[in-house]
Amino acid sequence: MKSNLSKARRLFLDPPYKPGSTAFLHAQPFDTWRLDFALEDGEDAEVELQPQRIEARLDAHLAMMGLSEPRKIIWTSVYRPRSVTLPSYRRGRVFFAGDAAHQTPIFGGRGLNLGFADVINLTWKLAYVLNGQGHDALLDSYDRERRHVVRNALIDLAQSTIFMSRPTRGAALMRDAALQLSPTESFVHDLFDGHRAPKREGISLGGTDDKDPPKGAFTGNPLPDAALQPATGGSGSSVFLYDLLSQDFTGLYFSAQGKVPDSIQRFFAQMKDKAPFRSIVVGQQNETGAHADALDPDGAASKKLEAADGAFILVRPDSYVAGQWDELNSDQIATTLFSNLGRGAP
Amino acid sequence: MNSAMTQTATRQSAVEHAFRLLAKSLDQVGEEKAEVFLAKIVLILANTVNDPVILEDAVRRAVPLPE
Repeated sequence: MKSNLSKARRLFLDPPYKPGSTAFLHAQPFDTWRLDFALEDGEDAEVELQPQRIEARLDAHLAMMGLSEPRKIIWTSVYRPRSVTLPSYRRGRVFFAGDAAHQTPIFGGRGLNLGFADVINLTWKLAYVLNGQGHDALLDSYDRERRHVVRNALIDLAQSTIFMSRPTRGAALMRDAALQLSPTESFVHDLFDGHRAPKREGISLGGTDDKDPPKGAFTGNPLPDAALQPATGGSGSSVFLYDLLSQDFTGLYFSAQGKVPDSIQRFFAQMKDKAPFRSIVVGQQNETGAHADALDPDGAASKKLEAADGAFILVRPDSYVAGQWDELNSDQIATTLFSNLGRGAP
Repeated sequence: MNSAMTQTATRQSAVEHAFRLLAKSLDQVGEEKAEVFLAKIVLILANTVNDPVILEDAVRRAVPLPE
C-alpha cells in the first residue's frame, strides 16, 4: 500500500471497530505495512486467518484511520508473543544467536536488534580464537554476556507485554483503568510503551554477573560515539570516534596537549607486540611534536566520555568498553586486555 | 490536645473523608464501572505515593495473598 503516513510505529488501543482489543501498524520497506491484530479469548486463529475475516478487519482498521489507498495483502500468519531464552547459548562448537537463542515480544522492537548484537558479540571472538589471538575461554563469554543482556531485555519488556496481552482479568481491568487515565495522566504512558522501557545493554565482564561492579562510567557498556576533528588539517571537518575503531582492541588515550609520555609510548608498543591492540590519542590540541590522532578542541568528547587529561579507555572490537581509567595503569590495562582475550596473565 | 492526638484526629478525619467521598463516587459511577474506577484511583495514588513497598503492603493488607 502506498501511503504518505509517516514511518512511526502506531499502536491502537481499544479501537472502535473492536473495543478492548489492540492493533499495531509498523512501516516496512517497499511500501509494505505490517498490521498486527490481537486475537481475543475465544477467537480461533484458523477462522481469523480466513481471507474474508482478514479483509473485514483490514477494512475496518483502514477506515478508522481514514485510509482508502489501494492495497494488497501479501502475507498473513499467527504470531504468538514469547519471552523465552535458552539456558545456554553455547553447546560445544555450536553457538545459538538471534531467534534460535531467544524470542522477545514485539512490543519493544528488540528482537532483531538483539540478534544483531549477538552476532557482533560472537564474530570477533570466533575470529580471534580461529586465528590464535584468543583462547577458547573467550567463546564462553559470548553466552554469559549475551544471556545477561537478553534476560534484562525480557524483564524490561514484561510490563508492556502484560499490558498488550492482558493475560488475566485483573491485567485487563488495570489496562482499562490506565487507558481511561491516559488522556489526562501522562504517567500511565510508561506502562504501555515498550519503546520507553529501559534499554540495558551493559554486560558483566567478570566471571559472575554483577558480583564485581565495573569500574569507570562506561565499562561493560557500548562506547558512546563522539564527534572529533582530524589531527592534521581539515579544519571544520569532523571524524567520529567510531571511525577510529578497528577490529583490534583500541586504547583511547586522552591528552590535553596531544603528547604521550615516553613510558606510555613504550607500553603501547609492548601491547601491540603481545595482542591485537592499537592506540588512539585524543588531544585538545596538537602541539609541535605531539602525537594526537584526533582532536577534541572544545573538550566536548572528553566530557561526554568522562575522560579527563591522562584518562585511558580500552575498547573491544565490538565497541564495548573493557575498562576505563582516570590515569593509565599499565598493569591493570594489560590484565584487562588479556582477560578479554580469554588468556591468563600477560 | 497533644501532637500525637492531633495527628490521629487528622488521619481519622482524612480516612472518614475518603470513606464518604469514595462511597458517594461509587454510587455515582454505578456497579458496572466501579472496578475500573477503583483501579484508576489506585494508579493515581500509586503515582503520588511513589513507593512500591507502601503499595505492596496496602495490597497485602486488603487482600491477604498466599505466602
